[in-house]
Amino acid sequence: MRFWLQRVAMAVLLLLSVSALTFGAMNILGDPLFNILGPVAGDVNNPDSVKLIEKAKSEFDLDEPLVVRYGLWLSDFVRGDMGVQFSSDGQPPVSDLIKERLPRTATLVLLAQLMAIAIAIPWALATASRAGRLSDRISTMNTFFLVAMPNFALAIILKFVLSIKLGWMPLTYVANDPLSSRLWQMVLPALTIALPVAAVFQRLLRTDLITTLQQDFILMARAKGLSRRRVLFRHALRPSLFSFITVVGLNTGALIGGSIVVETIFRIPGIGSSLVESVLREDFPVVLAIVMIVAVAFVLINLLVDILYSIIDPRVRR
Amino acid sequence: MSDNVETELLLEISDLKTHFRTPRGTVRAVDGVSLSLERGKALGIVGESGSGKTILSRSIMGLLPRSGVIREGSVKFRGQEILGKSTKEMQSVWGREMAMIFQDPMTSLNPVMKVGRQIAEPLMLHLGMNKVEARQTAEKLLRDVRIPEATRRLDQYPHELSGGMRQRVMIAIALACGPTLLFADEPTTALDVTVQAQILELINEQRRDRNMSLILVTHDLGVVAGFTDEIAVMYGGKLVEKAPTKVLFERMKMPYTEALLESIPRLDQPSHSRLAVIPGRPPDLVNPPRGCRFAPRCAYVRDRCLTEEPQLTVAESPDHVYACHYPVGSPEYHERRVELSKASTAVGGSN
Amino acid sequence: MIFTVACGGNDDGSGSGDTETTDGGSGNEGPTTEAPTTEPEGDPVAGGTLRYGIEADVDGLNPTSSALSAPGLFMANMVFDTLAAVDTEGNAVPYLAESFTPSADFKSWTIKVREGIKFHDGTDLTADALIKAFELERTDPLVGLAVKPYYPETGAVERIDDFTVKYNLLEPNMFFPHAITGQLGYIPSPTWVDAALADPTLNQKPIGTGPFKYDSRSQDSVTKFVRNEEYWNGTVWLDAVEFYPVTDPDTRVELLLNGELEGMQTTDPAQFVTLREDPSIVNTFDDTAEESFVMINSSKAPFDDIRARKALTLATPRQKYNELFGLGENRLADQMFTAESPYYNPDVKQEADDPDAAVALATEYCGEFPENCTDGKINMEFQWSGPAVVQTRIADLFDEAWSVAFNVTRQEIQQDLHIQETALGAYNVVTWRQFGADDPWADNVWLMCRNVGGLALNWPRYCDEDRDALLLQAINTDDPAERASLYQQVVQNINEAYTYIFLQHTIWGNPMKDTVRGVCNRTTPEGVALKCYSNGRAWFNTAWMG
Ligand SMILES: Nc1ncnc2c1ncn2[C@@H]1O[C@H](COP(=O)(O)OP(=O)(O)OP(=O)(O)O)[C@@H](O)[C@H]1O
Ligand SMILES: [Mg+2]
Repeated sequence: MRFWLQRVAMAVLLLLSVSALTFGAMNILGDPLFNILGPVAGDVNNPDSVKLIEKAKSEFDLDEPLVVRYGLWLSDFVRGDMGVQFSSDGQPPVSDLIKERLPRTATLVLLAQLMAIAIAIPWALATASRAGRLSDRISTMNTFFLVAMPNFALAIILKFVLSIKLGWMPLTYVANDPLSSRLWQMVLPALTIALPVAAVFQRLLRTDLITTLQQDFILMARAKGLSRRRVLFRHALRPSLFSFITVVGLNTGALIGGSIVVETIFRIPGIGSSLVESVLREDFPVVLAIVMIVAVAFVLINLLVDILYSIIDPRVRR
Repeated sequence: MSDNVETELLLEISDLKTHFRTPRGTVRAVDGVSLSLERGKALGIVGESGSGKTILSRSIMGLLPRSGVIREGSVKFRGQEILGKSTKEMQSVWGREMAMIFQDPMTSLNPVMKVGRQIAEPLMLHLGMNKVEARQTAEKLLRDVRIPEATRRLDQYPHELSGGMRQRVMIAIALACGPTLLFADEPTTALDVTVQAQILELINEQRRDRNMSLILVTHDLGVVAGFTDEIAVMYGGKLVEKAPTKVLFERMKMPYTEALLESIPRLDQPSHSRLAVIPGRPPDLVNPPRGCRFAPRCAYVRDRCLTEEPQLTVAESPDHVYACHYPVGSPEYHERRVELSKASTAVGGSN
Repeated sequence: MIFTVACGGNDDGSGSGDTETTDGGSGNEGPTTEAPTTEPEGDPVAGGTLRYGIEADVDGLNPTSSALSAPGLFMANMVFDTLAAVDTEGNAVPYLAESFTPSADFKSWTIKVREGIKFHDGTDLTADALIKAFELERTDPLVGLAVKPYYPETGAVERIDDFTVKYNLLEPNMFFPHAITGQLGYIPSPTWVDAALADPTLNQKPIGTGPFKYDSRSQDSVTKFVRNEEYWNGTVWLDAVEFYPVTDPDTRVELLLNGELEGMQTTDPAQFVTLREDPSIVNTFDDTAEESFVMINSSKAPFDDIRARKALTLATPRQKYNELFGLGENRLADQMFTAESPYYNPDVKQEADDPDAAVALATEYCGEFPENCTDGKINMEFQWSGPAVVQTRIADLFDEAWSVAFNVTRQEIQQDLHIQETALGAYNVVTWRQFGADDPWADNVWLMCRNVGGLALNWPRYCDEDRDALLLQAINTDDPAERASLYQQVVQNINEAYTYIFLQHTIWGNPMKDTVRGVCNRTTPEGVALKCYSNGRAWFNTAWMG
């Protein structure tokens, strides 16, 4: 219990520092007034513009010290109000933008994560039990190829082969298609993210599996007369999942990174493409919201990883 | 033991060879062993570390690495040749007909699987039990191996049990499907001296109750003495002496066996420590010595031993065989023995 | 009474472009259709969804509050009608308006709209709608930039009756109707614009009188318009038009070639080459519109000195730029008009490619203003919008060539910011694309003194009273020869100011599948054929799929 309290406290602390750093950095590096009003912000001799400037200053509390503004932002944020975008009409509110876009990215990342795991586990099991043989060595070459290939190149290859040449997969994502088609349109983008990640997962799990397969209890399991498949799945897999799960958790960041490129290539209007746009536009509320969502996701996933540890290995339970 | 009229020959091994291909060369871990075992009998395999006891028992069972192994000879189980059988075919034998208790109960149980499930696994697989039946049977098995609070233990993980308890669990797993042949590979070396005897007693008792055959592997002659009908002594991958337990202890022929006997660890000493260790190193199994493999370390060695490999010879009683040119009791043996005791008194006198 | 006739007659041959004739058979001028359309077209059939790839998405579709770019204007063409439209001769003719009537001095224009037209929300098109749109546009901080300078503070619009509005200008303008053929001519539903003021999310859901009604929109993914069954000007054949913003040009081409789009817009010459290989694609090109150029801010050191501007001009590798980025597709531009235009001044050539002369000028400048120089070279900043590979390559090319006489600081920023900084005059040198209005009058906004200011559209912030005089004279004559002469003088004036280094005439391409027919059948209710492609956009009032 105390352990979990500590974990939660750590997570909160982490999120606070991430938000404070992001908030501070963006306000120091950019000029919020300019980012809100655009050229009008500099048009100080025009009374109409001055009116707009005053309005924006009071609306965004720009005359308050940075710390106060951070406090205001934070109290809004924890209540689910992520503020308004820096644009002429501030529309849609950031919360709405996130609400619209997050499910797409979340689906993409989740799908990619599931695919990566679903590919990596059987792949690792197959190669670990044949370690050193030809098929294993061919697979090793493939993993290096996949890991070395940049996401966009892989996206283009997959798109060319699966969509254009074979015509099996849709080319792009269309946000107002029915849910089933949208999920189907997500498959190729998710696969693009998943393949290199699966390759990394596979390398890691394969190594751990090879170590596990040399353990006494594996011989014991064989001596019980269990089939090779059952020995692999029931006995070798679970004890080998430790570093695998750690990396799956840590790798979520990389997945979100991969989604930025892939969202652009497959035209998925998710938070990845929004992040790029808002960073370039210095649209702080949007950047902050996305950074925080990613940070929260990261914290949650790693909390989940800790829980998984104890599910996988009873010896870690407290 | 011999009053059992219907003796059934359970296991018959002839000229069994198991060689490993390694970068250093071919390791002749088991090099032409012939043995047989009747139903319900207990055979002890003794020999110092590296002599091939484990590989011999695993070769019989067929539990060997998947690659780099050369297997020759014949293993007949219940009259059927099982040496060439595939892993798939052997899976119905493993756990069902033959079971094995491993040396180290700390590492031989799956650390992330509840004890109950580990016992239930072969029950469901081989005996087709459903979950509930398997659980009930597992609980009964735990009671059979005298684990207190059996019901609670089913849902515990191995790390929650003591070493002796874990070994009992291993025994329960091995016994689960009522095998006809049980291998116990140094089942007590990893345990506290106080529980060693209990475990061996338990194995023996179960063997008798279930009319199982037992192959008990150990480097400790003292252990096998009370629990086996017959003893096979291994050295450098070869069978060097075999006799009914009583006969062996009374009239052992091999100087090696004698040396083993002298190195019996005492109960008050930590396990694996010996009073007198046989001087010298075990033979290199890649390039074994030309003559008798024990010759370089034998106190009774003579020129002939270094050039001519002794064949298995039948001793006074027909079920006693040994491979030695100058066995215990032979004139040459006595001659050397006198010399040796003189030498040792000389050394002792100088103290 | 009806000015159309007079205007059309007076304005004979004054349309922009006057380029190569088309082989498309539809008689539109300006655009060039490469592959012959499969004539005869046959009778139009109803049905089908036309999917169109645009360069980028827009923030909103409200013509009174969003400064609409090419993609925005394209989508707006579906929902909104303009008061006036450009015919195939380049004249502004009444469209939503029934007539335009100028006062004798051309300082006021009375516009009467057609009666009985309804907005998609069921309300009627009346004079109030025009007034509402005008007032909102004028007061919008950005849209207003193109409106304010030409109207008095008060009394700019007068309601004459339910369907008539009088526009009062600051100066006489014979070509006023051209002002209402674009964004300022769209008439949105007043109920909707009012509602959008209260709830800005409605800016995404436009309501007009156009051939299509807004249906749905997912920003950055797809915007869908469906047929307006009650369209006031003829049958609309298509069930729906969907716009897909595809920022990556290669992906756009890929989607078109794979039948996931029926059409797209592009200015990338490399794509024209690719698209030419597919016989089922009809390529419509038009290079009479915008010019691409390097733009210099004359209000800030070092370029407040003409020698610095001239040095930059001479150091610019114009030939190489065109070879590298025109791929033999684009024409080199010397001025804001193409050679076919009556306003083209054959004597005006864009100077460039003379690094030695540039060095000499820079040395002279640095002798006088050492504070703006380092190591005998003029310090300057070059800003462009990115990230985009092509833009970076262009920057590399310029940077290298200019460095003979300049110390170039490179600054890549996002497009919105780029436009904003440029609008505020917070730049030295940028690459830019503009000009090419259907009538040159509309390009006044970029050129006049009154548009120099805190925030105004004369980006180089260059003021020349003589130029203003020429521009105002040009909107006060309907003698084509006189107009031509005036604009030729403007062209020379611009050339001598060294604020623009003209590079190329931009080619706007609208490649479409040959299954898309009838795009150019659009006419006014009176039967005047209308221009069907303009600056990368089109109208689908009469389009059908077959
Ligand atoms: N997979 C293998 N590859 C190569 N050599 C092996 C392999 N397994 C065992 N050996 C060798 O075979 C020989 C016999 O080993 P084995 O384990 O049977 O000895 P042991 O008598 O059981 O000894 P201990 O009392 O230490 O258990 C040893 O020299 C060992 O190094
Ligand atoms: Mg062993």
